[in-house]
Amino acid sequence: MYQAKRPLLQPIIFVLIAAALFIAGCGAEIAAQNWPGIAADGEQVYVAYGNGVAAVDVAEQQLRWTFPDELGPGLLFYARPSLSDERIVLGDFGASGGMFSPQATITIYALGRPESSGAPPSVLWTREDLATDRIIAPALQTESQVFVGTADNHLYALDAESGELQWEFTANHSIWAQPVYTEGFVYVASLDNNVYALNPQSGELKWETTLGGSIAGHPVLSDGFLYVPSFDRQLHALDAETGDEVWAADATNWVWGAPVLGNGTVFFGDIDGNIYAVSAETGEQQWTATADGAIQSAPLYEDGILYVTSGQAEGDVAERQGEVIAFDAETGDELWRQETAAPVFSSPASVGAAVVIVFQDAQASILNVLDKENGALTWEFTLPAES
Amino acid sequence: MWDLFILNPMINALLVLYDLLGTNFFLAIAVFTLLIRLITLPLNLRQQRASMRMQEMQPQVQSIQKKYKDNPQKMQEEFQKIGYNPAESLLGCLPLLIQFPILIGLYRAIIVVLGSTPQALFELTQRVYDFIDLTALLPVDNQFYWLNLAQPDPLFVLPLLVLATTFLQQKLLTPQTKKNDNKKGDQSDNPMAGMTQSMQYTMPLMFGFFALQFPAGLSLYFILSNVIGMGQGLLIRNNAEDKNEARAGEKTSSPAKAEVKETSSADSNKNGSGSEAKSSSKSSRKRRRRRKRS
Repeated sequence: MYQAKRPLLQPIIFVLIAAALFIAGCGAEIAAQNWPGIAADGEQVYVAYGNGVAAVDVAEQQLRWTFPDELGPGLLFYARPSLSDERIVLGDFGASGGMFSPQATITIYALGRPESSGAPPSVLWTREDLATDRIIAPALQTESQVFVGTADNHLYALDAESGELQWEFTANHSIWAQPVYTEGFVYVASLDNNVYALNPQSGELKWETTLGGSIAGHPVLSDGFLYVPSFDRQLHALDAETGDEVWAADATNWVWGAPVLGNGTVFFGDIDGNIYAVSAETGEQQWTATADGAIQSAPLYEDGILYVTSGQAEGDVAERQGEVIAFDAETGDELWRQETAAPVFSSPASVGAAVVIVFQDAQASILNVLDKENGALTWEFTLPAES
Repeated sequence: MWDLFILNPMINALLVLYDLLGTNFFLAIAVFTLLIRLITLPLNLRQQRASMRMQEMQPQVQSIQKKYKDNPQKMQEEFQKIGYNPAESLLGCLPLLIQFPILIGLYRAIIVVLGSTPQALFELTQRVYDFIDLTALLPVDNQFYWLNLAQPDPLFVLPLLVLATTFLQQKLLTPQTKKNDNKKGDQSDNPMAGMTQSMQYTMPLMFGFFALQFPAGLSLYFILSNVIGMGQGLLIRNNAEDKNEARAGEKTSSPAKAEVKETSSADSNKNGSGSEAKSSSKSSRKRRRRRKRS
C-alpha cells in the first residue's frame, strides 16, 4: 500500500536515481574525448595524453617526468607540446571551477626544460586569463614570441620570456591548427574556412583566403607555398605572399591532417583512409595508397620513407583498431604495416631508429615504439593515469 | 540501439533544423524543443489529467484511509469502488523519467553537433545521414549572445532561469492543495501531497545544478521546454475548470445530486481538499459574474 511516513524520502530517491542516470549517461562520453599529442626531441618524446604531459626517454625506456606532478582527473591536456631549447609551451582543455561553478579555467603554461633528464620541469609562467575555451592547437614558439590558437576563436601572441600579451587576433570560429611562422608573417587557419596571414609583431591582417571547408590541420610552408588541408576534400597550395590559390589537389573526403613535404612531393591523407602523393610545384598526383581507417594527422617523412597512422572509424568503439604503415615515398610501395590495439589519430614521431606512436584505448593511453625497419613493436608503455 | 534510435536521429534533426533556420543553432534548439514537446504531448496530457483526478479524489481517499486504517484489504476494496488506483500516482513521475533519455541524448547531440573537440567532430562524421551536406554546414555556429552553446553559461543566467522556470512549471502543473494540507498530521496521511510539495523544490534545484555544468544549449532546451510546459499546463487546467463548471451546472439542476455534492464538498473542506473545492468556488464566482452581466 502506498503509505509513506516520510514524504521527502521518495522524491529524494527519485532525484538521486535521476541524477545518477544523467551523470552516468553524460559522463561516460566525456571520459575518452580526444586523442593525444606527441612531440619528439632527441631521444625523448613529450606526450599530452589527457591526464597530463609525460616526458618519456625512448632509448632508456623510462618515464622521466609528468606534468603536473600530481596527475588527476582535474586537468586535461591534448594539444601537442611545443618545444624550444628553453621552454615547453602547453595549453590545457580547462580545469572545472567545481561542482557549483560553470566556469572553467583554461591555462597556457611555459615550462623550463629540465637540466637533468630526470628532474621535473619548472613553471616559468602561466596565463589563466586569456582563453575561455579549450586549447586544441599546439602552440608555436619563435625566438621571442609564443603564438597560441584557442577554441574560443583567438590567436594570442605572447612574449616568450614573460608570457605578456602582445596582441590578439579574432577569427570567426575555433582555431585547432598550430600557427606557422616565417619572417614577416604568421599564418593561422581556422574552422571558419579561412587562412589568415598576420603581421607577427602587430597582429595586423595582411591577407585572408577563404576555402570551401573548415581547416583543422595546420598549414605547411615551403618555398613560397602554403599548403593547406581542408574539409572541402582538397589540399590547397596558396601563394604565401598574397594568399592566392596556385593549385588544389583532390581527395575523396575531408583532408583533416596536415600535409608533409619531402623531396619535392607533398603527402597527405583523408578520412576515407586514402594517402596521396602530389607534386609540390603543380599538385599533379604521383601515387595513392590506402590505409584501413581514417587518416587525421600529418604523416611523418624521413629518409625517403613515409609513415602514416590511421584509425578505424566504424564498428563497436571498443573493438576499433588502428595501424601504422610505412611507404616508399618515391613509389608508394608499402614497406610494412603494423596494427595497433586502438585507432591512432596522432602523428608518428621519429626517435632514432624508432617510430613512436601514442593512442588511447578504453582504459589508458599507450605508447608504442616500433622499429623503423620492419614495424616490429620494441616497447609498449602505458602512460600513468595517476601519480 | 541507443545511438540508432535516439542519438543519431537527434543529431540529424538538429542539423536539418540548423540548415533550414538560417544556420542559427539557437533556433534549431528552440524548434527541436517544440517538436519534442509535441511528441511527448499525449504522455504529458495523460499524466496531468491523472494527477488532477487523483487530487480530486484525495478527500475521499483520506477518509477511507482513516476509516480503514487497520484493515488494508477493506481499504483496497473501498479504493476500487471509487476508482482510485494508488499506482496511478506514480504516473506523475513518468514524464520526468522520459525526460532523462531525452536530456542525455540531447546533451550528447549538442556536444557532437557543435563539434567542440576533434573527437566530437569526428564522431559527427560517422553519425550524419547521407542526405545532409555536413561540409557545407560546418562549422556549426556555437555563439548566441554571450553564450558558447557548447559550454556552460559563465554568467549564471541560464542556470537561474532553469531553476526559476522548473519551479514555476512544477508550481503551475501541480494541483493546488489547501494550506491545512501542509500540517504535519495531514501530510503523513496524504503522502502524495507531501511528495509533490517536496518535488516542487528538489526538481528545480537539481535541474539548476545540472545547468551549472552542462552546455548552454541544453539549458536553453530546459528553459524553453519549461515555458512550453507552463503554457500547456495552464491550457489543460483552464479546460478542466470549464468542464468542472459545466458539471457543477448540471448538478445544481438536480437537487438530489446537489445534496450528495454538498456532503462531499463539506467533507473535502474538512479534510483539506484541493482543486475540486477551489474549482467549484471559482465556478460559482464565474456564475455570479455571469448572472450580474445578464
